[in-house]
Amino acid sequence: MPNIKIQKENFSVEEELNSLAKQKSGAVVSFIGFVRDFNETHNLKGLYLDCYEDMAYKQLMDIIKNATELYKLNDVRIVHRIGFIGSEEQIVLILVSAKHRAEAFEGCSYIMDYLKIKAPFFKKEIDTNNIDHWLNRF
Amino acid sequence: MKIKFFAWLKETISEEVNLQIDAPIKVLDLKNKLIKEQGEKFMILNNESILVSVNLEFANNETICKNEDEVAFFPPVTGG
Repeated sequence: MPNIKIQKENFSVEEELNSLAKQKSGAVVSFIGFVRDFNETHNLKGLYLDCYEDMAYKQLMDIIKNATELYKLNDVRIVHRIGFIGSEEQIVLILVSAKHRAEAFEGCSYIMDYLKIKAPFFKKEIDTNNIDHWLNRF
Repeated sequence: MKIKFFAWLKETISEEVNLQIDAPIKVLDLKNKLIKEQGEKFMILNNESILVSVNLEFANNETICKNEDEVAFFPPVTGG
């Protein structure tokens, strides 16, 4: 699945952008998500991300397919990191190319919205004293 | 049947359980079988916030699963 990467390593926006097909594209829209240091945990050191990788690839492929049909996207890249990610580091990247800017903006937003509800990633916050806390634990 | 658990369920239950079933069963019956045969720690699976998938697709209590299927339980997703 060349247009989806789930990886521990940080990513280069420039490298991913260079790999995106831009033929017949008047617009490229990107979304970069960062680990925010103002969530439920004070003194956040970072996040640990668990992932059901096989299902995440399957769900993200379906999301890309739907977005491509709905918004006539020319190409898409998704990179999502797993494992430990430090505070303020990059966590997710969405890149889309399309003929016009409206389709590119809406397609990128659609992919991110559905990633947030369909892709099985799970965050654990870790503070500077190494005390951790799963988000959505009850 | 391979049953996987993710996020904090992995820590409180197990990473993976292998189970033999004689005939296809509903997810609801699978949960009850796990509680009965493997212990009370599986009761958390009956919490309505816990999600389930069968063969990488979201499922529910009525979904039928077979011995060769991969089932997974996990809390609400928090990616992005």
